[in-house]
Amino acid sequence: MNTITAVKQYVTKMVEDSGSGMKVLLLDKETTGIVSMVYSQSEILQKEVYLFERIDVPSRETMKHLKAITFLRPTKENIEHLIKELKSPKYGNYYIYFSNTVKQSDIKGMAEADDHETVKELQEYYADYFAVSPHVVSLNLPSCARAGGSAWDIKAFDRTTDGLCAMLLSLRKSPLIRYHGFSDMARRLAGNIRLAIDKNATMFDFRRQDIPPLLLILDRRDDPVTPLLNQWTYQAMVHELLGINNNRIDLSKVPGISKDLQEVVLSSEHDDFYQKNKYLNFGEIAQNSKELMEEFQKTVKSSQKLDSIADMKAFVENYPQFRKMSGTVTKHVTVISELSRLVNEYCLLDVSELEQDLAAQSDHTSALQRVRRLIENPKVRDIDLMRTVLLYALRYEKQSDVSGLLSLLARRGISDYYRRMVSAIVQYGGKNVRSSDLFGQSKTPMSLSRRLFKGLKGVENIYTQHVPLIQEILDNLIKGKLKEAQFPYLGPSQLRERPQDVIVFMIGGITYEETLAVHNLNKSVPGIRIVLAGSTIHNCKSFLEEVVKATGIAGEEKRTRSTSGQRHGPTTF
Amino acid sequence: MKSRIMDESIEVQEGFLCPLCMKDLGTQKLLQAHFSDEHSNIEDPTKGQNIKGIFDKAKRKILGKGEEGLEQGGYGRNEELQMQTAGKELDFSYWEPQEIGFTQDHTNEFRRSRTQTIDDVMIETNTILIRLEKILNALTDADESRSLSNSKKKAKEQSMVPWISDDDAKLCFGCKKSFTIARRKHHCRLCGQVICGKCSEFLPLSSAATFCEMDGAQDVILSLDDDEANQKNALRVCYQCHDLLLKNYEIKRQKKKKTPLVQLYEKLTMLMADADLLLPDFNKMAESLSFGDTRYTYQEVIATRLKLLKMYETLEIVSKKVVALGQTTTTAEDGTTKTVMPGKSSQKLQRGIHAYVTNYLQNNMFTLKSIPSEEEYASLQKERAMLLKRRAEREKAQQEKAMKERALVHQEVLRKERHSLQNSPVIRRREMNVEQRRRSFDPQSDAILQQIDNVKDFLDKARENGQFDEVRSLERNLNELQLEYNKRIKR
Repeated sequence: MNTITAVKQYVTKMVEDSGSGMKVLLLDKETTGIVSMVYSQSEILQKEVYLFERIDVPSRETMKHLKAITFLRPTKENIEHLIKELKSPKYGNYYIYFSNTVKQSDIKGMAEADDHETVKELQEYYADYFAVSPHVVSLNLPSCARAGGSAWDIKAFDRTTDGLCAMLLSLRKSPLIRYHGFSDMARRLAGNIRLAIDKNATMFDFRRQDIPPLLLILDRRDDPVTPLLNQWTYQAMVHELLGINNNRIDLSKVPGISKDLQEVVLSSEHDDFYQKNKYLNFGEIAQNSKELMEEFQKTVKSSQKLDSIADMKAFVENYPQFRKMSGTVTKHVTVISELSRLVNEYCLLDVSELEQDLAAQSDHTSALQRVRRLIENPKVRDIDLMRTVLLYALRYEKQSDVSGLLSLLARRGISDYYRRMVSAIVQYGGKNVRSSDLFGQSKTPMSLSRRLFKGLKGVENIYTQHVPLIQEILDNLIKGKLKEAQFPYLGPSQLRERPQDVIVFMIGGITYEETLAVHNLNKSVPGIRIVLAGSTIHNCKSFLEEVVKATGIAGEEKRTRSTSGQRHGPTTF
Repeated sequence: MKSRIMDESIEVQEGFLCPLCMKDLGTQKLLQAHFSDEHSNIEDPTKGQNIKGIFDKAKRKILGKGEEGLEQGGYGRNEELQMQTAGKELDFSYWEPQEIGFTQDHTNEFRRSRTQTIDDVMIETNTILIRLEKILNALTDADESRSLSNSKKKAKEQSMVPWISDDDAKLCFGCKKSFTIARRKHHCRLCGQVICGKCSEFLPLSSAATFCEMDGAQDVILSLDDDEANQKNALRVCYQCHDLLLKNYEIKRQKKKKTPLVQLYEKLTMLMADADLLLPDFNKMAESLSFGDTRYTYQEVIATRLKLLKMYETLEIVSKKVVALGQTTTTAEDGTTKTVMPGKSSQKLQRGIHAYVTNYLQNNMFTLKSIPSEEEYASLQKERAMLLKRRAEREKAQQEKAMKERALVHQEVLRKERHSLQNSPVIRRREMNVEQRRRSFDPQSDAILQQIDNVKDFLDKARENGQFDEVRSLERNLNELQLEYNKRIKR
């Protein structure tokens, strides 16, 4: 069930099956990302892979002494590129691997093009998704729905089906399927996955497990709150404030950044510090990074005294680690100091406190007052104001004074586009759309006692009061309390036992806060294995972009911008 | 958008870089000198302290320290919680090992589809090649070719290749245009098809010979070429046939030819394989030496180490050659030098190979066990000898002590027995048994000793000849024998 291992094993096999000799990895845009998530460049260098090339770059050098490990998604364009490549091969031999099922006619087409007989292998290895962590998968789809409705965009639908099927094949699971009943998109996806499994029954014929695995399909619309919140754990914070894209972070906008730090890689597979700290609080990371720096300084100092041969030998022996360490130190210190700069400059602690209270408390009057006060604060960014207003609009949807806030926002000069987002978010995930009790408002005895219990426990940390809905859903699933009416099974067979292997897919993207919640469940519940997959991993900015696309307010935006030409366009997100 | 993995490959720097300023210093010695000169006064960077200030503030706020309405107790509990999570973090790992995911192999299907097209092409190419060879043979065969008139030559060619009759061909086989006075009909000398002038070309006999790989014939043909207009001694062929010939030739040439890079790379892999084979032997030697053991002579260990180092050195030299490959530096007349670099991908490839070798050296050469100096070794040897001696003495003393005790007990028992059963035949028999056993024991242990001596001889010989596999198995034998011998002695 470890997705990183699953992808890595595929890549390792590809690279090793061709035997020894100089190799080039021939990739497309997506597979480049897929491979780079599991292998670092220096690691794959040890497998004699010296070169990476893209199939869609026609002006590659001819190098007949190389073996080309070709790993592509089986798209129409890629097949065309490959056929052209095989007609006049640039490399000595081709070992071709597709990340998903290839059409018979395409195999024939490629075979006819290969009159140089350079192709040695043609296989399907189902690494058709981005393994972010052992338990986290993304498909890097920025949006799923067609504009103006809650129906699938057809390309996104196909890609999602491909990605999920590949995931199941790579993990060797043929699951029972449950889905969020309120969501049309979830129902359609569930049906399509079932169809794909039934159509390829021979492929999905895995060894039966005592407790069958479960695929649970959810919809982001049921919890539009989580992606709106500011985050305080390292990984989530970096994504929220700087943005993580295939483990890469763009630091080019950081003031006074040196050239080699404009883009850094944060990978828990190759960076111990990140691995240990990605789920920790900002305060703890600050402490840990200080320790990291001190340790490094100690190393630097000890290596200065190269008096004896033994010292010198020790230095040289530790040299690779030493170099690696110095890179790690600069990287994390830069990232963390940039985070704290942003936190201070934009009063994020104040903003976050209000967000958390909006999401977890229920005092309308004080909430409204505090939102008003925040709008007065000139240091707060537009996007952060928007978060609180959007949260307010979702939380107090029926009783709210949204129009009052909107006029305040207008007075502050916030763009029309932003302001229209208030109705967009309600249209996307308002009360009429949701099926779960997101804010614990219902008067059922269970939710009452839950709130009471929360009150008794006291607030441990005002910045982490919010608990994402997915944690509750999974809790209920594990305890066998997830209601069938709300989350129906597809097909007649049901899970009678406590679930063991669960793959959760969230249409409309997941957040790093949710990956942490799932990580904690994996850690604390014995025998459970949950993988959380999403169409993408959102931060507030990308989430609002998806909301805009799904509700179709972007079209109106163009009109207003051309007439008013305001300073705060959507590009300032 | 550029991808990470490719960006990295552009920026990859290898070699002896200074970890602080990333300057390439070429060798280990220079690097160390540079490091102690330039970076000897690194104190706490002030930047770090600034950051620390901000952190403390943020930490206080996030952890709720000093926040109004929160008690100190709450904070303490919070910290405790964090400690727990941190501890657990290390224990939890994600569900490994696991079987590799499902795969599906289409190679056979692919080959089946390919064979059909390939077969067609192969048959065609082979036919053309055979025909070409025949024609060439006929032309070079005798001087008669020289005296042959054009029409006779044509007839001869026609006898080897069936020509399509002019009347049947209305359109050019290549461009499918109809023939006119301006677009005249020609025959391809290889496939016999009718084509127009534009769709054909003249294949010089010299290249024809290369295509057929008739190396011997080439000279004759060349001389033919010299004195005749080349058109006369060239064959008119259609583009299609020409392409087939060229492709076939290219493939054959690829198979035979090894570029300098491939040669160097082969050398690298061979050296690495050799070094990997020798390294475990050396490690064993060095270890035994560091204990002052005398199983290997000092000189032979030194020699092995030098041999290894030599291999590593060659590796480095070859890998440097790889990097320099394809670079040509020319000095112009005005004294300026111009360096022509190979293609971008070639450079990346060569740097990649260099990085691979550098990494290999870092893992193997830099961690190579050092050997004690001769004096150290001597003292180590003495120590070990002392140790062995002491151990032997201790064992001997223990043995003697045990013997004495046993003898005492024995005497005691004897005395008692004598008391109770005087002159019993049982006693006499037991005494005899002891006597017999002692006698029967000796020759066997002698045999083992002899065997040990033999094996030691073999071992020395094997070591001299450098047969390390044999040395290893012999050593195993020796150990077993010694164990056996010790057992027997104890008994």
